[in-house]
Amino acid sequence: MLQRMDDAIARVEKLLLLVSLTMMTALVGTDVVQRTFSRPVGRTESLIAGLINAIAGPLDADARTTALRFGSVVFVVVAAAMFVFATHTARGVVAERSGGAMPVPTLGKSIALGLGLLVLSGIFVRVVLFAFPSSVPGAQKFALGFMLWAGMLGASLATKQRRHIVLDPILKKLEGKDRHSFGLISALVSASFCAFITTIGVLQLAGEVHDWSTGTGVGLYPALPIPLWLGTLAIPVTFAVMTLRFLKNGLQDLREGPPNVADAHGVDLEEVKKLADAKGDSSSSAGSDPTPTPAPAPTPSPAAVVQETP
Amino acid sequence: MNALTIGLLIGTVALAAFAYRKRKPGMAVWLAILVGSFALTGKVSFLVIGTIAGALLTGQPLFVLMGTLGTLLLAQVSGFGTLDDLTVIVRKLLELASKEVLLAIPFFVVAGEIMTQGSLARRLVDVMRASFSWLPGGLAVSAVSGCVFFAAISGSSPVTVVAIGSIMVPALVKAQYPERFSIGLLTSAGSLGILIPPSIPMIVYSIMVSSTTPVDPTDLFLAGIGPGLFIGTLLAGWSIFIGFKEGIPREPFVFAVWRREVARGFWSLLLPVIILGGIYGGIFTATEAAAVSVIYALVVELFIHKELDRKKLVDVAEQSMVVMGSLLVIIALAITLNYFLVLEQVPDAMVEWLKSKELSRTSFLILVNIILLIVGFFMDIMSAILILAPMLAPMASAVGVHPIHMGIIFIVNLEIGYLTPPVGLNLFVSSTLFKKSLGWVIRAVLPTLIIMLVALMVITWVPALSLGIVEAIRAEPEVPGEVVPEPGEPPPDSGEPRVKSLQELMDEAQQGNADADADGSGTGDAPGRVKSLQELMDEAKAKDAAAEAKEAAPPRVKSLQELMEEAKAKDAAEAADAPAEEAEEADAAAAVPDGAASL
Repeated sequence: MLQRMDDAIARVEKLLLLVSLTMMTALVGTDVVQRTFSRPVGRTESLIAGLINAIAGPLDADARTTALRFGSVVFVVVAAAMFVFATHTARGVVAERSGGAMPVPTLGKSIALGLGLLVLSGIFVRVVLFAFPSSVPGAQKFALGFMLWAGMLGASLATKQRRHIVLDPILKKLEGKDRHSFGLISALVSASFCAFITTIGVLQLAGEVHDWSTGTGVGLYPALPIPLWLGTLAIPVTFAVMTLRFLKNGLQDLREGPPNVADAHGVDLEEVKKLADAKGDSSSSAGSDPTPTPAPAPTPSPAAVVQETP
Repeated sequence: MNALTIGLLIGTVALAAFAYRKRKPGMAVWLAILVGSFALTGKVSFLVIGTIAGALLTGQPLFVLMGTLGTLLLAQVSGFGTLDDLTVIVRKLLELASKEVLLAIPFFVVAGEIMTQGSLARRLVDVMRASFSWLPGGLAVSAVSGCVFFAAISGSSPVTVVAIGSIMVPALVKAQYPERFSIGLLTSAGSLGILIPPSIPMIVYSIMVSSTTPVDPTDLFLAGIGPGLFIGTLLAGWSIFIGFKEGIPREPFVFAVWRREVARGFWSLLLPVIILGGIYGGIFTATEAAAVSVIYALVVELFIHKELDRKKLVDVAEQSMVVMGSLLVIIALAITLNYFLVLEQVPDAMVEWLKSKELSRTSFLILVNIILLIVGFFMDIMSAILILAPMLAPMASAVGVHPIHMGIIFIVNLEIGYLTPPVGLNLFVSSTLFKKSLGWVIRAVLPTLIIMLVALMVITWVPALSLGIVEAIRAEPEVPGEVVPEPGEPPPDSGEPRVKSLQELMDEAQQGNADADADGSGTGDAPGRVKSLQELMDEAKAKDAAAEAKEAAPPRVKSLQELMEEAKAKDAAEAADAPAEEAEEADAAAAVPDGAASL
């Protein structure tokens, strides 16, 4: 029952997390596109003008205008080359994967497709500039709000998956029943702390909701009339879920003992062991071929192996 | 520290070690009792040591330790006695979530994971093999350079060991390199992940020292390149030496193979170029570079390499946010501890103490290196940064160590911590991955560990290695006057908008305030006050935006909002009998309808 509830909450969390991650990427990405392509003088133009200036000395106004126009041409040519190359590579990968069923891609079609993609990208840039002529309002602020939600939801999921960095060198040395009871004590302490943060989080939230409810414009994001407390809400909600999850983990540990999912430094050595076994079976073949091989060997997922970022 | 404290400390450590050897829960009791006796030595030491001991005994997550420490110290020492007072913890957490640079962490984590989900490691290794295999010890050099590039994408040391090591160690052994050398080399080269940008520990470092000695993470990134390449070169030199010594056969350089592999790995190799080139070309900030790297990685893996499907993508998002979440909550609660330190002026006190000891720069650097190496033995890198960086950074500044240089020394020391027992993360990973005992792996890394210690000494005593690139790039002159006008002068013919330098803004503010003081018509409700940086930046941006709109936009029908803002600005200007500064603000309000000026 507890497990089913936990799983259901986790599904909602994952959905919210995906939304948050997508939104923060989209907001910052659009802002970068807007800022990059709304410059009066682009970087390529500046670079070219600077180079000409260094080589040939100061230019008159006409020569300078020509140089700047030339900059735009260079940018478009480089972009077109990149698009064509990317398209050709992608088609090559598809042909390679088909094992000969598909013909080797021709450059002509890749050029056509690449240029088509370039035009589409140009249209996208124009749409962004039309929609946001001066800047994307509040892009960074909202992205940070979504990051807070995504991060806190991630922390909550880390509790479910027991992926927090834990100081357990002593706990790991315990055996038998001691380990079970210490697991419960550990979870109770963690749950108490999370409950404390939930409490002060609710107090802070109440203050912000009160400010916002006065309707005087206090407690709003600067760019749009969205209340600030929507960000703060992430703290009590996720810490409350973490409190319940620690309690659930404690009960589970009392019955079954803490699982060996991670060591004190966040490395799931079980996953590495599995990888080593898999590699062990194929290590001779990997080692026997020192020449570059076209077949891509999937790299193990870092998150599956390592739970600590650095 | 008095004799009683030292005695208690030694007794505690001895008994804890004894209990630890016995592997009995009785040690918990011993530790609890003895740590309790620290109450005699003062409230703060009791709280700190007691909390750490308690967290260790009960196996607490790091974030609980950080949060509990911060809460107890604020409540017991700083007098934050009520729950209402303690909401400062939540406010600090929210304040942290308003730091733009923090946004870079999830983006870099996601981008690194997307890229490593596919065949990135294999592609990189193939490019490096094709490039360096002709050298003596060329395959090992390829492994090192593969680690350098992979580190620049993934930003994680253990992941680099797993990804590159699992491919290269069997190949090295097959090519007759000694197994001990191969595993030692890959275990060490993997640790470059945190020194080669983008580096998440560097971002965390910059956040943690921001209240005492602010450091721009992009400067740290730049400063990491030199030492990272230096260590990489030393490891490559070691590989070449072993190649000669063992008489390992070389492979011929074949241009066609090299070209084919570069074409295959081109899109992976381009990511670090985009990130670093974008940041230092002035195209985007570190945060924006991180967001761009996510989009780039998605496009490359979804549409070009076609390594990702929808299910994998969802897994990547979930797993990276779990990593991010466990980090964010630690950093957020460590900020509380940092807040306590600043509130109680602990860094200032430590600087004063340092001054009273009259330590020279050299003695300080020796001391810091020893402390950090010892810390690296027992602490993981994130805990060390969160706890020590806010205290050591101002002390370093006080003795004349450049804050960026200090950051790099910090990171290199802790990078070595990945290779030192008992908590050397890379040792555990290698031991498990290559099925060797921990002792065997420790012996295997000894030669490379010595190389890295030598590198640390050079990096410590040759600041130019870290600061050279930063100074070269930061000192780069502006694009010549024909294109970008000299500071203080409007462009001669184009009227292009330009964001003013801080110096110009400050000068303007001082001038404006002096004028206001002279005629008694200061702006706003605080006549003659110096404007905040934010206000000055807002004004400059608004003015530039107005100028840009005037120059670039074709004539069009104005929106109601714009007309209202214009009217408001006009009224304001007339009402105040138009002192110059106020008129500018009104213009700004007209130009930025949703901005702070209009509010």
